[in-house]
Amino acid sequence: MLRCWALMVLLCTAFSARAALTIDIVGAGERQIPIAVVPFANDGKLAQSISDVIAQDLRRSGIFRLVDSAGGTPHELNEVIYTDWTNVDNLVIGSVETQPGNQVMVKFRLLDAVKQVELFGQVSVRGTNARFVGHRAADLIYEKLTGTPGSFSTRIAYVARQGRKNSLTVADSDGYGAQAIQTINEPIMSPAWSPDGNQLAYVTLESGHAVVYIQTLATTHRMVLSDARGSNSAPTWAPDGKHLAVVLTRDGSPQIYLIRSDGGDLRRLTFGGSIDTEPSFSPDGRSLLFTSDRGGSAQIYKMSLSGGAAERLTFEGGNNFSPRYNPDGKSFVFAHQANGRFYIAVQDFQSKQMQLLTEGGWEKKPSFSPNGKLVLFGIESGARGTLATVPSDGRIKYSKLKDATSAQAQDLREPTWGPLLK
Amino acid sequence: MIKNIVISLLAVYVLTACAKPPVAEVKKDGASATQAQADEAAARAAAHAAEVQKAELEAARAAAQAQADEAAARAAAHAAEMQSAQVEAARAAAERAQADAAAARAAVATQAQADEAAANPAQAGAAARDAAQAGAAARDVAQAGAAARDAAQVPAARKMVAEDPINELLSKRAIYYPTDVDAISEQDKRIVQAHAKHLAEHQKRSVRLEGNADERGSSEYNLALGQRRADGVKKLLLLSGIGEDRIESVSYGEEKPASSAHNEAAWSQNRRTDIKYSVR
Repeated sequence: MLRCWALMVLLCTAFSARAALTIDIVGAGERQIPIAVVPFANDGKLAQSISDVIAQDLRRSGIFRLVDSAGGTPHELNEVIYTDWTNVDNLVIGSVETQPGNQVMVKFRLLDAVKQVELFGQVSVRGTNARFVGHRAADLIYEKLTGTPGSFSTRIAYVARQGRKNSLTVADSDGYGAQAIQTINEPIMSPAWSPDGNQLAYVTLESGHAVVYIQTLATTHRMVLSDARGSNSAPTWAPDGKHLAVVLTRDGSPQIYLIRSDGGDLRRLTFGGSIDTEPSFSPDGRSLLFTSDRGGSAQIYKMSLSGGAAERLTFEGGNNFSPRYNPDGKSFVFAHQANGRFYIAVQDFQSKQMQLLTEGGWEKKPSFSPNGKLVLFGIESGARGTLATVPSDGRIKYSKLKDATSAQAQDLREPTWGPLLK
Repeated sequence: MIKNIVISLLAVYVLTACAKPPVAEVKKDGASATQAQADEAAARAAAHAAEVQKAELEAARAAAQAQADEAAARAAAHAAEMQSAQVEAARAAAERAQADAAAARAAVATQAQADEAAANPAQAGAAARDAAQAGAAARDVAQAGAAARDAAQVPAARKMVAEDPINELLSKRAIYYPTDVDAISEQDKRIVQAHAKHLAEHQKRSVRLEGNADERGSSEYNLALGQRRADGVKKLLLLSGIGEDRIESVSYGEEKPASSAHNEAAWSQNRRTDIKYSVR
């Protein structure tokens, strides 16, 4: 068993040598669906291997165990010899072709190797970005085999810090294709995606104190959302896309306010004398989770937007921070601090039981993928921060998104998963 | 009253000992989970009641102590007036003690808030914390009162030395804090008061307070903690009569640490408010 684990880790690190950002599986799980993604015809001619993108997406979900294509490389249905594939439940075969206008087209089939049937007929995905095409294909395969829509073709945002330089960065869900959208020589914090994925709200200290901005990605145009006295921070969008919750100290202690996305219609939501911060909207927009030390230590509370007392949700010894609602509204993820270590944890609203998703170290700022199946978070790797994902049911250990070729050490922090693109 | 508290605490202990769920496992047993939830809810209610009662007791004790020591401070100041050589040193100490007692009285006023908030369990914890801080402040007032009494016996030779500590306090440009605390220690209040005195004597100067926190906790929580730290210093300056238009208070949270090592030596340096001067 140990040898299997070691071999898997070795295989993964061997593969990771060539790409810009790589995946590192830290542990392997059981009860996974064995699947083979046969390298597509003409895949090697592209800069990015699309079948590799699909394989890594499926592996990172924790649901699948990727099996090497030892049994030949069929590309068409009539090339498949099912008796060669007794070690897998499913098989993905296909081909890639480049088209005029810098387009990439992938045609693939998903097969049930046990029943020896096609699960869906040939699917074509086309786009100008080869990796995005691969992610879309992975989403379709994932949905067919699990019943849940995939989140692989979504994006993440985070802050990359190097010395005094801070870059607010947008990347694919696997960390590839990183693009800096705002670079300054002052700290940037708390990026938050608008529900339509077109804007990012975030906080910077460039004016000497914490100010909340909203930037439109397509135009790079930026506006100030709140610049009141003291600190303006912790922006989060309401599901309606028209309002945000923010934390302001204008009236004394850090408190939660509702504000319209144009900066108007300010409404105070919490009325205490302690710290209330890190609001997170429920999917129906009617409740907020937030971090508060009103009970003497940082814990997670829930309140209704229509008023009433807040309900405390976390009680296990230690502090709890950074709550985020699961898109299905039934649980939440948060950072749990105990015995000097930080863990990522989930808690079900119904059972109120906390489940740790990581073994504890320096793990912070978790957020759910749009389908609620994966959690993205920040983790210490050596002396600097990097990003990782872990399945929200804890079925396997986390996978780091590792920048293997960066000569200068970048500190990646404040990650947040973006919405489904419509 | 004491007996009730002891019984409540025992009940809390028993209930929490029985109802404590495991940390790292998902419990799937529905029936015992419901029982555990009910026990937990009862334990929480009892814990809240115990906390509020404890807060009332401490606040009452703090009030009594503050009054007693204020009287002692006044008596010491009066005795010192009899001897001209010790007048300045003793009066200065007594003023400080009175200012601290006033601050402790103000803090004890949160007792009224605690009474109001007793019906609201969500506020009970904050009131308990404020009352605990008031208790700490009142204990330090007792020390200040004793210091005033000692000062009344200071020989003449020490009169020159009494002025140096003011400059020494003024040279300190940072207030430091224990973990997760934004209250200013009694010792550090003297630093802030020295700065208040300086600002009062130099009307053209204004001050910028920058609050910081160590890296534990989330970045947003630490931004909030840093802001509370800076605002605490601001409040003290306002109480000392400095106009709000001359004070700016901001937070850098954990974003601009003085030391970025992952150990307590670094963290203790980062838990601070910096006091920076500028001319208006």
